[in-house]
Amino acid sequence: MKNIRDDECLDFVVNNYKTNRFDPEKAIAKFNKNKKPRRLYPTILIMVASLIIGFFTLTRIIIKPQSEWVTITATNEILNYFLPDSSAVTLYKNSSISFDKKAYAKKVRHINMSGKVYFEVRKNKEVPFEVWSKLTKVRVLGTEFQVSESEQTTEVYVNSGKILFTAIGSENNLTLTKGMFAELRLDSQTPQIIEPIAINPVVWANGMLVYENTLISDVIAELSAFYKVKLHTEYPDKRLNATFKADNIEEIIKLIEQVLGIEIIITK
Amino acid sequence: MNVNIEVLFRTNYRPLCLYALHYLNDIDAVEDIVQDSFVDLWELLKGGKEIKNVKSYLYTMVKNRSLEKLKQDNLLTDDTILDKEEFEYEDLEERSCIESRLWTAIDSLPERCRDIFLMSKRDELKYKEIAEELNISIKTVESQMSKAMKTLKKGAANIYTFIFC
Repeated sequence: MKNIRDDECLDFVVNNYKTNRFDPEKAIAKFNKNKKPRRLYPTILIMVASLIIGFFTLTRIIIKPQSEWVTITATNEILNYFLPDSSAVTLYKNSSISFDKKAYAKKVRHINMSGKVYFEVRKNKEVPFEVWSKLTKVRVLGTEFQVSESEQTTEVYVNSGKILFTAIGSENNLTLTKGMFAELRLDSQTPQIIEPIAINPVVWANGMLVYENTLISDVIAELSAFYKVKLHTEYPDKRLNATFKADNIEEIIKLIEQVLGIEIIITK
Repeated sequence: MNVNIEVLFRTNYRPLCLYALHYLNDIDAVEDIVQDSFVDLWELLKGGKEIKNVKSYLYTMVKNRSLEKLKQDNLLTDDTILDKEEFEYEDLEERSCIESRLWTAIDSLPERCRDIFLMSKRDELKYKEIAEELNISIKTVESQMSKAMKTLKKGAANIYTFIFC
């Protein structure tokens, strides 16, 4: 039974190891030096600290503004943007994000958003990344995910890693991992896991089409919608394993035709 | 009741630190919390309090203080749910003892050997990369690594004879 976790233990120790720390002899020396508990010090320290902090807050309020909000908006085109911590954001048309430049990444990386936005979050265990939409809050430590708002629902999709999806103003939350979809409906307080609504929901942002044993009929449906063309084949039941860069539809079709030995007809 | 505080330190200080490290991820804070727990325990004992199981009392103190600290730093929120798996060792105490022994074993390695070991295991460098970085031969890296692994295995072997630290 103990054997199971030996590797885990070693990993934990190795990743945290610092020389000369957690040394019992040093701790004993320290203990013997001040056996008298230092109960008073914390109180005095807190009093002095709050005086100083109070003073600084006061001068800050008087002298300069507390926050500085930055808003990024994509109007007619998809927009890429890097946040101060080098997390990457891709905004769909008519979407926007905003964040407080002064407070960002101090305790939490707080982002407000509307529309459809794809996030690739730089990993930082100490400073969580939070995305607030009108109805929901998504909290992560470092992952790739998309939040998409419409009139009636807010949808999230996790491309990699793990996120916590919460309805604002309630305790109800869901933990979602790679490949999962969930939504919160306007009339509900509980986020729910839903069936996948697309095979590659973030192709618009990362330009990657990945198919794993996917029915050709599903592939064609997705390509048709993405490239705004009409596709047709006599063999909808074949299955495809492939990864494409989403640039030229003709080339993608040609590749599929060659690999599966089928014919696909394009009409614009 | 007669408690030798120095023995208590020697047998439990490092395991307690590793125990707290699972909650806090902050070596300085961990050392403070464990130290304070020992000081407060000592005060309690001196004040005549009867504590049946001093060791598990210490673990409870350290755990409560760690959680308290998380709360103070506003970290005991949704993340704790996110990272729940990490906290859900039923036998975190026992695990911390094992980790403490591994820590001690790494401590006991000669400096050069330890550096190479950490470069390989922590920084995930290949032997070739370590050799280039330190300007030594791959053979040397290999022999230092096997030396380190042997020491750790020995440390780990002790674990099974010292299940209760």
